Amino acid sequence: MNLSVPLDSLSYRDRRFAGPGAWSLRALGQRGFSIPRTLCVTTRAYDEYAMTTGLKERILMELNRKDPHALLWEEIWGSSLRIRNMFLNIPMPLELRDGLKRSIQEFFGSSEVTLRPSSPPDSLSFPWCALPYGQPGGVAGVYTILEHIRLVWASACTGCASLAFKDMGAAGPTGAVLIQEAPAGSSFGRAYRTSPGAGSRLVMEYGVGQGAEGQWILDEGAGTVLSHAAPCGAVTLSDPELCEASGQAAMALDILGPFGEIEWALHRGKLSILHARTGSAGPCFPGARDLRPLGQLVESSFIPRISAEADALDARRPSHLADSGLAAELVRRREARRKWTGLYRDQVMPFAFAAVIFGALYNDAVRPVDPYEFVDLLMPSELPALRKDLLLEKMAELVRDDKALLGAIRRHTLPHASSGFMELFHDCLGRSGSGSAKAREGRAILELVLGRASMPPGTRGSRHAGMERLTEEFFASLAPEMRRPAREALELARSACRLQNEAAAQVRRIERLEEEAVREERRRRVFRGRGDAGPRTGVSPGECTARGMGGTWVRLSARQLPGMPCSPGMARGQARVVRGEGDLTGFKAGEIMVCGSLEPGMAAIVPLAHAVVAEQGSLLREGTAIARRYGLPYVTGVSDATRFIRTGDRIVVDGHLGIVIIEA
Amino acid sequence: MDFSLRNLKVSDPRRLAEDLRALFAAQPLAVLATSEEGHPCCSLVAFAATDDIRNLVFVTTRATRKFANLARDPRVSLLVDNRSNEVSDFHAAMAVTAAGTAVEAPDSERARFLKLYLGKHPHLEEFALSPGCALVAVRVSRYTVVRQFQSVMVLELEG
Repeated sequence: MNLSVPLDSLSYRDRRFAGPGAWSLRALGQRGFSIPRTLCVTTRAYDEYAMTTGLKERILMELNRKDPHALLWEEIWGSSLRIRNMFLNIPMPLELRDGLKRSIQEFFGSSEVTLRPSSPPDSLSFPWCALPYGQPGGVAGVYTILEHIRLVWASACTGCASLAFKDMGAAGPTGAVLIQEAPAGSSFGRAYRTSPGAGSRLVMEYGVGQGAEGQWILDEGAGTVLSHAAPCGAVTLSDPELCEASGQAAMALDILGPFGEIEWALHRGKLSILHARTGSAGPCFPGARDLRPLGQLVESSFIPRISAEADALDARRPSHLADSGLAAELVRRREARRKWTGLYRDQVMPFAFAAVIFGALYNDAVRPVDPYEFVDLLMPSELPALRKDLLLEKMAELVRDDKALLGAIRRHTLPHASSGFMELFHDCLGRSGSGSAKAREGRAILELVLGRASMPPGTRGSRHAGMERLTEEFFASLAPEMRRPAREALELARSACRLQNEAAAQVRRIERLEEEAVREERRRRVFRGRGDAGPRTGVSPGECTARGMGGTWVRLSARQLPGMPCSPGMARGQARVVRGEGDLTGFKAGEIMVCGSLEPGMAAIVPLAHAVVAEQGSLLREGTAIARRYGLPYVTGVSDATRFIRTGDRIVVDGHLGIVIIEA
Repeated sequence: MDFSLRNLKVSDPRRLAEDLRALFAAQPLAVLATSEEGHPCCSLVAFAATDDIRNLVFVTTRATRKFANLARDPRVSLLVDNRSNEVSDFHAAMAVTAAGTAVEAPDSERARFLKLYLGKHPHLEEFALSPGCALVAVRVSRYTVVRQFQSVMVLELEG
């Protein structure tokens, strides 16, 4: 099998090396449809690249870092970005490069081409799991084309990996790539049928660039237009164009079978078919091609509604309710938690994927060593945790310069209310809450200030170049025509990050309200002697004990736990396990924070820590931004970290490799 | 058998113990490390494990260096792994180091251990029954289990 084959020379024997996309396209070409000149880069090229460079094993090692069933989407995205960076940074072996170079030059000369995977993962139904190959226009020049082949491979690989992680049944990527002469055309789109069979509808999506701008739904039997949706001012198809495009599309879909799908280009009234697949994913997930509407939904509906529901639930104190009222409240809170975690998964997470799409764009342009560098561009300083962080640092500065103030805080006597320090203090404390909770929060803030003040200024400084400089460098690395879409992608990513953090905080609030009711119900049962105090695991921190085979007692402990590197660096120190915000009191500067996940409420403590270890990853969360801003090693996705690591254990956090070593 | 993390629940000692038993059943050979005047000395031995994974047994002639070494210092380690010497080992292989104390099998246990050993290595019957050979049992106190290149867990046995 050759490294590449022209589409019209493809034989049946070559079929599995060329991928289903190439084979479907060839079938349409043989039936007389107009197909751009196409060269198929076969799976042999991918296999040679992946095997010779060791990439295949590196990907497998990445996929096996953690039990896949325990992975969050954010962790999967993190892995996808790392895998994608492997493709970006590992060049093709010379022999492979020269072989492909010759074929591409002979076939296309200096023409502009487009590339696409011949067997894309079924990512249209889960568009927020695959890092797309997002080249909006054509590319020219053999070296650029070779580079884009690697990007297409990366896209197919990360998509399949993501689906495999979630047991969505994706077959592995075949790695075949289609290179086509860039089609002449004024309109592009895709076509598929809904409800194949009797009463089927033909859907024609179209746009002038990448992404659907409008959609026609046609009743094929009656030959009528059922609906037409397009934003105001969008370019649309004329009646003759629609007639030609839909007629040709219907014929092509007849050949491809009931679940077929095509991508098309229309030029001077004539339709070309760019891509064909026999297994259509059907209608796209809302906003698959443009996540903005989903963002509006999150901002204008999800967040206000969840916030209102949390306020309403919070207004009823479980401890004040009669037993029957408490039972009803428990059901109410449980249902609220189920509803909002479901909506969070279905609305917020797909929108948050905009940040990862930007990450892929950034990494393509900048090629950073750290695949998460883009996160440093996404966190606006007005995020609550970052704002609090800033206020704490200002207070620490005042305390460092004023020994009287330092002494006063140590003696628990606050300075005069009108002082600059107290203004900052009240600003940091906020207006919500009252009574003992507020007093506790106030004491915690002062402890944090003392902790920070004990560290020399500049000990914890911005490690990265700063958002502005990184942003400038990013745009400078882009071709002028790419800057506008990149700016839009960055704005969308920042919005995704902000809204995801806000939404996550509200979901966490609902979860806590449920926990509060559960605790109250359990307290009453224990009080009446009808229940135990809660689930007992029989497991002490730092180990896990069980009776083994043959009556032998076994005790399991960890020596080295793998996770995912989220912020580079090395740190050695004493661990402090933080299971909730209540454990933050007493956190000492220089300790290593070990937590389930880095919640917004914990973010302010992060600058005191020497490093952070979390069981669940949170690439796009405020805590991550703070850890990165302060240059702290941060390893996420460390399974059972709070179980195997005890407060006081000496541990080493390797933020480069993503491992935590528990010293004997 | 695939011992990668994909199929293992890291924090479950019972599952881990079962996987160790399966690994020991599948692997005929282990690397035995003894101390030779303070210097590590490695030897390849055919071994078998008891069902409760508390004992690893092997046979050696009494004239070997390893037998002399463990007679002087019974603290030993055994390495058992399922590597295939392919690049896939980096994500798929499992390596287990057993730390324990070696003793020549006592009379009360000899018949049981020998049956276990010959059940796994029937072709070594003549060797195992030779008067010049000793049946050695390593009482394991700790297993260190490395999987997927970076995950290291320690399983301690008591009682």
